[in-house]
Amino acid sequence: MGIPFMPVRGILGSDYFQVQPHFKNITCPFSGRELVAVKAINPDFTVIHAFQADTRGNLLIERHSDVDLALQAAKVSIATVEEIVEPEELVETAGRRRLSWLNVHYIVQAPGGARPTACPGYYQPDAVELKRYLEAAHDPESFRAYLDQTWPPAAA
Amino acid sequence: MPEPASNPGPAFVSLEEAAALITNEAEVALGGRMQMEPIALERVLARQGRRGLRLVTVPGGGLGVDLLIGAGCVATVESPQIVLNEFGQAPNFRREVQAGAVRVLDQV
Repeated sequence: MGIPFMPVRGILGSDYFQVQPHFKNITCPFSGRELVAVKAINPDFTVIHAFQADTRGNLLIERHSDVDLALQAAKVSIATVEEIVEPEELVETAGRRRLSWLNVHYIVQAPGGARPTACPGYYQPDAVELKRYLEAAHDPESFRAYLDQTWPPAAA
Repeated sequence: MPEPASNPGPAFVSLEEAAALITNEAEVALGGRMQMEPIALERVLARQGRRGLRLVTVPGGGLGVDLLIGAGCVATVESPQIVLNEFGQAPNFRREVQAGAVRVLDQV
């Protein structure tokens, strides 16, 4: 939309203003009433995982998702995808929506790129790996060891 | 402003090349929660030793936020909720926020 903030009313009178510098009190120029301005988020980068890209750079993303807005709002947008297909093979389904290449800057072919989280139609969440993660993550040292053990440094 | 016909479209790059674009202290929005999270790229970011990232979740965050915090990559998280769904709370997120090492910018 290209506008710097949205006016909101529901959080007036809350303690959000003490912890959230992106909410500011403003006065409505029409009624004079108090409102809240919520600052627009324009991230330096947006990173998402999509099902497919075609060779032109169009994406197949989750249908019920706002990641298209995040891609549009970002200065640089990056999508990892399960597979790259020919343009005529990029097919929408009940759960998958086509997104134009216009707001996509970089595409990475990364099969299994969402593991151990799920990629519907490709794989379920990996419960065994997630439980290993949870056990390791309760302590900083064991989590460091888990990171080193499961994801060794990349070859130079 | 380039003409549409002259826009070459997205570039196809490797995980390492894409992660290397993201600079220390950048504001980074992440898609997905416990499904469709860009974990592979986040693993590479962690391995490359990125620091001071300001994360934004779209809409809520899960494993990737917790992983990047556990790897020491994160300064702030702007989000309504970080949770691993049926797998429970996000341990690195909870610990580092309680310790004051990561700041939360709570979104409604």
